[in-house]
Amino acid sequence: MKLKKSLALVLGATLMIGVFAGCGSEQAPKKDTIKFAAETTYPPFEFADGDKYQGFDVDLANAIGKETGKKVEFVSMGFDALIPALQSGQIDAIASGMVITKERLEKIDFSDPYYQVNLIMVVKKDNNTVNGEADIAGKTVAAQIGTTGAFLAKEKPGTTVKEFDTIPNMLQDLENGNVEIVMLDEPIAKYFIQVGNMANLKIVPVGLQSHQLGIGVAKNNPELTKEINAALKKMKDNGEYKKLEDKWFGNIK
Amino acid sequence: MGFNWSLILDNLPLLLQGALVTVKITTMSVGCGFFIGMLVALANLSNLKIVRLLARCYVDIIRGTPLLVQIFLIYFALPMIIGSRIDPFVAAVTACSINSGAYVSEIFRAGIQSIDKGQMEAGRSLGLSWAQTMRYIIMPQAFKAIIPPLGNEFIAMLKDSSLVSVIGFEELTRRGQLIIAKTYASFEIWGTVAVIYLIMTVSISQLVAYLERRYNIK
Repeated sequence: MKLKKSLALVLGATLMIGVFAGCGSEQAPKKDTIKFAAETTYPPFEFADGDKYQGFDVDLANAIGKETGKKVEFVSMGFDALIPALQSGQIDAIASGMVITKERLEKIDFSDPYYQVNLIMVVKKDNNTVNGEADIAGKTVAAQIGTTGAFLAKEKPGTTVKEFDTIPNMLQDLENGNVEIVMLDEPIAKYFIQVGNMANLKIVPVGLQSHQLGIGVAKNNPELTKEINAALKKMKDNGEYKKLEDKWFGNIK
Repeated sequence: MGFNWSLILDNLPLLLQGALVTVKITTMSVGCGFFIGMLVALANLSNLKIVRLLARCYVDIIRGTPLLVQIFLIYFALPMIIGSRIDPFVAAVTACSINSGAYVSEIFRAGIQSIDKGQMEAGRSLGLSWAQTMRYIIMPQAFKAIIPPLGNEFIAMLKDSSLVSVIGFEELTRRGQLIIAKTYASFEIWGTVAVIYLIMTVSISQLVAYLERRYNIK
């Protein structure tokens, strides 16, 4: 009798948790829509303008939608949340200026590279001690969490690496003198320093690594990777890609 | 260093929309948390050992793990188990409700236990059932005692809800991040965000103070 009662209770509790988890609007992945995600604090690749998302990756995602005849949804989340979201099926693709790396390829697939960037360093204008990769050792370095810049800095001996969620926070920390070097991809650094009017920062003109950016797709979704690759190729052939490139990077090169 | 007022004015509507979302998440979470907390508190006082054990486990697990981790677990791990997508809003409110429920249950338990044991005995000896005594004698008195800590919980959740920005949910903090990424005005925007939070939390503590006065002065 007592056992029955406890059993009913356990069952009831489990059911309640189930109901709780299930409540609200669940969305099954839709076949006719590609759900892209990005950390939208990364101009000119992706940023929020009012309550709309803009940038090279956003336009690229929409263009891919046009080429494949699918609807495009674009959502925003933290950079470190992107790959887990893809793996758990919360999104279909990542278009977030993400560099194709060996480590990431173990977890997700990438489209063919769609853009090439150089990893560079940003320092204060009056800093003359940082001139190349060897000078990273022993310094306090800021990098965006989970990015290639962060991985490179961590390999150097005696380096303290501070990982930030967003670029403005890192550059602010550099301006405040809490870090000596910020690791960034070149177009973003140029954009921030020019458009963001950060006159007392400068770029160290040495490319540390050359990076290929790719669109991330879940490993169990090779059809989508194929579709995206076909769309990218078509766009490069018909000049659509060049138009986007000029639009977002034309005036910061 | 110039302080750019017009930039604040330009972005205020966006921030206020974010604040509204923050209030929405907080109210729904503490609301759900209130009922979860009440049930768990009663379960904690149950005579059945297994029920007490379950309630204890829930409170210990939720209080012993960071809200940020709970949000990640619900948003990333749950879809793998149930095999379907979860809306960020649902994930945010679910995580915050479950979290709030654990804290509220301890508030309730303290409130109920602060009422003298003799009252339950008196109620029972008058022929009321356990549930009736709870409902008509203990709970009304306990509720009075728990208004201030409930207000605290509400204020704490209002601030903690900023953690759901990691799953891209655009509440006040995330809106601030997004605006700064475009305008580079960290000082102005974070300052404004702080003031908006402050206005909300001070309003809540005023409301709690009013409720306290209303229920204490007869």
